[in-house]
Amino acid sequence: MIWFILKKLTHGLGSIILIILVLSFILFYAPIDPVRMSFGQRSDEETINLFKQKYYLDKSLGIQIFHFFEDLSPLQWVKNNDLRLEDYKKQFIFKGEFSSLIIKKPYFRKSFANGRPAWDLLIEAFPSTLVLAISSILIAIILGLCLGFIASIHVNSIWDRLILAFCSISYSIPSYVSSLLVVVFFAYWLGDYTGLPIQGSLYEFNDEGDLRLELKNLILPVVALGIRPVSMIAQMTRVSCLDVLSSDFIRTARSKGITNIRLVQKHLIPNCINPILTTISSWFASLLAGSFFVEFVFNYKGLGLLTITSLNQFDIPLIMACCVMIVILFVIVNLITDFLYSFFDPRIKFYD
Amino acid sequence: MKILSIENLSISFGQNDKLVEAVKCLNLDLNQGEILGIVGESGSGKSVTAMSITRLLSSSAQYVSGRIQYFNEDKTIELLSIKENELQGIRGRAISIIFQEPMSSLNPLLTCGDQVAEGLLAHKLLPRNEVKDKVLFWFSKVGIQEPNRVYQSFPHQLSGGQLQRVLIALALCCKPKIVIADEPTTALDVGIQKKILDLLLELKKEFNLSIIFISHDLGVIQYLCDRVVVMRHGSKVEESETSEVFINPKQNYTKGLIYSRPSIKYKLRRLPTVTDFEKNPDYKNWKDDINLINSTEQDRKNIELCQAKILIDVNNLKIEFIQSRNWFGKITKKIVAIQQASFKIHEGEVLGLVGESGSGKSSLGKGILGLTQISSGSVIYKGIELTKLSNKEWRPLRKELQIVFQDPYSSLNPRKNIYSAITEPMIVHQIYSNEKERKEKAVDLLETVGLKSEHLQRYPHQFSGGQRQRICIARALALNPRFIVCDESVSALDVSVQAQVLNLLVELKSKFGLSLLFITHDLSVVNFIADRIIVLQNGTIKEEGYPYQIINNPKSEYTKSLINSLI
Repeated sequence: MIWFILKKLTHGLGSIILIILVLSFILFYAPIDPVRMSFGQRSDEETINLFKQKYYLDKSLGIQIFHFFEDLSPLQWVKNNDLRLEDYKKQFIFKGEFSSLIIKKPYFRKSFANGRPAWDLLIEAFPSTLVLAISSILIAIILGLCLGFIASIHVNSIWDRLILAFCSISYSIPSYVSSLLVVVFFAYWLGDYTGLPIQGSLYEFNDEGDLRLELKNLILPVVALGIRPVSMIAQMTRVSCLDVLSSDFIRTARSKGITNIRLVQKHLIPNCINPILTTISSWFASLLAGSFFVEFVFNYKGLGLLTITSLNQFDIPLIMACCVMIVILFVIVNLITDFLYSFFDPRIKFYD
Repeated sequence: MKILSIENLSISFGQNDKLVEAVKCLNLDLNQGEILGIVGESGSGKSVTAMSITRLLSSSAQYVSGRIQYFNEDKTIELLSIKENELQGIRGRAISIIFQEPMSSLNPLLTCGDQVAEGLLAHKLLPRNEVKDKVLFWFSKVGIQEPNRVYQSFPHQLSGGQLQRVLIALALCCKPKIVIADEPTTALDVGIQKKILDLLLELKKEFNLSIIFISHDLGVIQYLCDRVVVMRHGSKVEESETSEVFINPKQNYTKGLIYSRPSIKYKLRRLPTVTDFEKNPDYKNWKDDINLINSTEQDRKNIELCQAKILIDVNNLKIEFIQSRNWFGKITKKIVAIQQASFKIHEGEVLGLVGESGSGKSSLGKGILGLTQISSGSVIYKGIELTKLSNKEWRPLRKELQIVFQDPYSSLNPRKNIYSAITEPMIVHQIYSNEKERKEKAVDLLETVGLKSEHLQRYPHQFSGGQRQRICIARALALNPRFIVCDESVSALDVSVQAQVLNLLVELKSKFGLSLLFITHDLSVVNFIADRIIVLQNGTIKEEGYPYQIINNPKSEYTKSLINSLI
């Protein structure tokens, strides 16, 4: 089992390295001047040179990438006069005359746009996205399972048709359209009755300047985000329920004379859970990684909005940090899903 | 004393405008303590009848009429009209079912023990803490060696034979009055089949069960049942005592069914078929001297074949399958499918290859044709070493070496009509110069295999299994091959169709001078068709010889057990 986790983590690490390589390549050749991005037009030669020297911006692509990885590595052999040294959260293991060995927190550099460490910005934005993703996936799971289950039990009836129609319509609406529709309906036309705001984040400053939790800002984004997973999960549930219902062992179970409740509980649900789990986990991972359009439309300050902003401002450290974060989230969700698979199905041995 | 009675039962499936009648006006009685056999070919409605007794038919648009009565001491219960929750008390408790496919009939996510215990718990027959002991008792009763291990095992961890025993325990644990056994041994190897049947007989005596036994296999029915009902197209053809049916069948269809089964006791030139009996009800001479091949003729033929040229020479053939590779693609685990197999096939000879499932017989057939990777050894065809050929070098040889697969349902492309299925290999190998000649040849072939020229434009789904297998044979013959591998080509077919296809193969063999490698698990089939037999077990050749030699005095223990388990 430990090998399985290590294997998965190695795969994840590989993806992170690959992402960084590809991104560095793109950003290096993109027509952006990081110096101009961070200092604007007014800046003296000396500061610029210091900045370039600090981040090796005057060196070739290979060296830049090497130094970026150096920043990320927890162990580093560093020269004592290195300019980056002051930014690291570090502990000296060995201190030499010219250079020393340090152990440190992976360092994602400072945002070019506002000078704060990129990782800190990410960590600040992440809880909002986490809350948004968890609440939309929870609602999607509950609704989707119910709808799919009802459809599969009353297959080919009017209910089945209605649910299928709802699913195909809602699935074909992209999230930026659905979020706009939701805003127009509930926050604009019905705004007087619902009292819901058009835009807003999970944490907002109130008039006194304190950061306050605004749960009602969550409602509309959750609706807009959840609608596609609902239809996906409902369809998946319906299909796999129908599949299991037609299998031989359901007939065997019925021939034993057990009650319908037990049939559903012990034989139907456990057997149709795995394909549904796949759908849920892939949706959850992409919700976590940032629901870009929805966060943008609602001006909801989360990971998605942060990524979009950083891209807009060519904030290279922040772009890098966001992408690495997204990969990490995917790896974690996949790992958990693999564990759940083998938890539900004794035939799957994940540590093989 | 009657315990179950079926009156005027009719069952149809489908939508209003497209109703298919599966069972038509069926009347049946089951007496206390008797084994009633229902025999019929696929689509005869035998399983549908059995499932309708406790209303277990799939819910897709079905229409059931008639009445099914269960006589429980002094009460009479109308099974088709009682409420679902009352029926739940009868299912498993009074009437239980042993299902066909042991592999798929158990819930893969629950342990076998829990699944059996579930039935006991549902009927509240005994306190919860005694259930496990009861299940273990039944496990040992049905001959499971390690009841405790099986109790905790999931279905995928057990073999087919063990699972079938679990299913029997599951059906019997609540001591039902009636047991419906729906082809309980069809999916199992012959060796296990007999053990399971003996077990059923034993249990029936011990618990005074009444059994409805459904099978397509007349041998099994004869071995087990007191009374037989023969069904065809949803209606009853014949009903009588077992001995009566087998000694003196009245209906032509029954005669055809009984006599079209090849036997290991004698060797015929041609198997009688259902059509023979239907055309000529007094068709009696199927077993006369002209049709029977006697031993002197057999010996003469064997000597002739020995002197014939060697067509295929297999030497020390070894086939391995890769089970797992490490990260660098290096092989870490291999399974040996065939070990050091050596044999020869003469021109015009039929070599039978017999073995149980997993013995490697299909791999051997495919290995000879280069359809599976060969690890070592050689296959020489007309002086050409086949194992070292590249795909390009193989191509001209493909037309001389052909294969007919097991499953006629999946070996024809459903989107191509029969004409293109048969002519495609001709086009690939450029055998005939133009469309007209190809079409003539295709018509010719179809007529050879007993189909008509108007069938050319039809698609595979419009044919029955037997017809499809003939089409596959026609396709294999399209290239005028010298050698055909028949990989369980008749196993999926009904008895009557099987006889037709076997007759066809024998005819074609003498007409075109073909050599066949006939792969099968059925010794009686191989006795009919093969000139020589190879017995395969776990990838090694156990025995080789003429059919009568092998059947009358088998040398290896394995062959002996195979023959003893025949019914």
